Amino acid sequence: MNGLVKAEFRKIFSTNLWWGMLIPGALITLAFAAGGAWIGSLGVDIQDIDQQVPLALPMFASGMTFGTLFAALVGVIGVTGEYRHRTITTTYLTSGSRDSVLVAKLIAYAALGGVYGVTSAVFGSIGAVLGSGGEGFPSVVSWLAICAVGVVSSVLWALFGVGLGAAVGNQLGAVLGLLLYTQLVEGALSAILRAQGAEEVPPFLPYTAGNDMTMDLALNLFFGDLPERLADSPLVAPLRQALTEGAPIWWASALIFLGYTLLVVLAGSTVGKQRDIT
Amino acid sequence: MHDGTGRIVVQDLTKRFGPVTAVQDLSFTVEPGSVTGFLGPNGAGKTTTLRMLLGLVRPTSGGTTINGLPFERLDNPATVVGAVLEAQSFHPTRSARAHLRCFAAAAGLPDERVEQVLALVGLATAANRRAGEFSLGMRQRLALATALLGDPQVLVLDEPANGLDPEGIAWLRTFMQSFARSGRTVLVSSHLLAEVEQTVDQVVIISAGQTRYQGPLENLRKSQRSRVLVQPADAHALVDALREAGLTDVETLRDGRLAVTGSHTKQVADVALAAGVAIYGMQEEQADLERMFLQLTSGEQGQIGGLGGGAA
Repeated sequence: MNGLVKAEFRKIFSTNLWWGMLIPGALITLAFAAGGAWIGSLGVDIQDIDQQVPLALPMFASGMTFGTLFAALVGVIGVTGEYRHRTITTTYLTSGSRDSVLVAKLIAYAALGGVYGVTSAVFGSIGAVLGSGGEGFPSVVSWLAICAVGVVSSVLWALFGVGLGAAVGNQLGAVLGLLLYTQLVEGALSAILRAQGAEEVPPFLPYTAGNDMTMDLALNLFFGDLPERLADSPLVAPLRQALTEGAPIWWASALIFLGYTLLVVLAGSTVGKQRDIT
Repeated sequence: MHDGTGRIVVQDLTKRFGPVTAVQDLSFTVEPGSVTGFLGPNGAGKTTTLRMLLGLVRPTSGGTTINGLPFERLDNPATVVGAVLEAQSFHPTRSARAHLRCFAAAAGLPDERVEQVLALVGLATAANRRAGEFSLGMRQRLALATALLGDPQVLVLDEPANGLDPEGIAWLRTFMQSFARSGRTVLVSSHLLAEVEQTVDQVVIISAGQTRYQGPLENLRKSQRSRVLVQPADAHALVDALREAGLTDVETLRDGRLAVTGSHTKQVADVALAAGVAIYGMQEEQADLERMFLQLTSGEQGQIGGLGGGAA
């Protein structure tokens, strides 16, 4: 098993994909956090507010959340690349069983997903410092909590990508499927469900659950960290309710998404064992 | 644990892809110590059979073993069997060395082994080049290097001569023979008998997914018998004379000539002279191995015994 995991790491680091997918996620997080910090710092000049608003925190969280898409993509492309370039034949010829290959990939890509998450966290933190001009950085504890959950979410998305890639096999199909579903289909589905009065369902959909684990925590921390004067204002209180009431608590969303991840991995294992490599 | 014999057994193997039967009730055995040619026309089911042997394609029924075990139960299979398959490939931007290091790690082999196989196949100087820049011949060499990583006991090659230059083919031929001579097993497929005729000792010939012949190539060679085509003035008289001389396998061809099997021109001429039958023309016909192969695989001839009196 050690050998197979080592083999997967060597596969990852001997092509350009890993850093090609790493950079956009990190830069997006940096830009989001910097933008949030900058807008938050504008509050100082407004008479009613008169201080920094820790807007960098939720913006940082949404940057990290968006960045997880690249962790999922590196998993999908890495796994389906073996089918596309037909290296899967050699991979299976040099391993004991197909499941042990899948497990080795899951371990390697979980680690890579962790690297993606940490990189996004570091870049996001740099962005927040840059955007706020070094002053009024949001609560460090809240910040570190978002970093931690963001890294976990990045790991889970990478595992999701590996499972999806193993289940679908075809690279174009898997990548398009992932992008279309997360960026288009689930949003439309949620809108339809809400219009039908089933607004309790969307938080249980995979992409929403995967996002909510970081976003719900970030929003709760953000509103919690707001000065009382602001938090109780007639402008903020209803906004807080609207944004945080609908979603399950962050760790419940994490568990829901973990469930989906296990499902696609199971599908990848089942389909992978049946597949004829011709 | 596997039995270490190096024997390959294919037993009642059948594979259907939807309505298409690629392989049907195929059975054969490959013994170590010799190069076995796996022959059949394109589409005969060779590649599918080899992929089932290697656990890449699931048989519809029947099974295969290497060293007494099905592939998926081999412990660290790379050290038991190495394969060079047709649709095997490389990541285009990964270097040859990096490619080999990936699979050396998977098989738990030290990195020095990578340098050894690179040198063995003559790719040491090209090791840092991307596989995508390789010629077909270099790709075949890299595939062979990959197959040899685990120093396997059994080597399976699917149409390995494709894309190799004559020099490469000669090199591969020598390599396979010395590999087999060290007591190991080589199974090499080809759709051309001539391509492997110099290399193989044993052959398994299949057509339309079924075994047509299995055994030493030498037996196949011996079973081919030349015939004498003769045009006599009186066919009847010559047939009688030949029968008296012990030559009973005589056939009348459509053009009126006689085909005498198991003889040679000198004997037939002597018999005809003694019988007083005039001869207008005579020639000896050599049945060559390639034609026999074509007959075996065309589907008309099911048995080796039926070869003697085939169509002229």
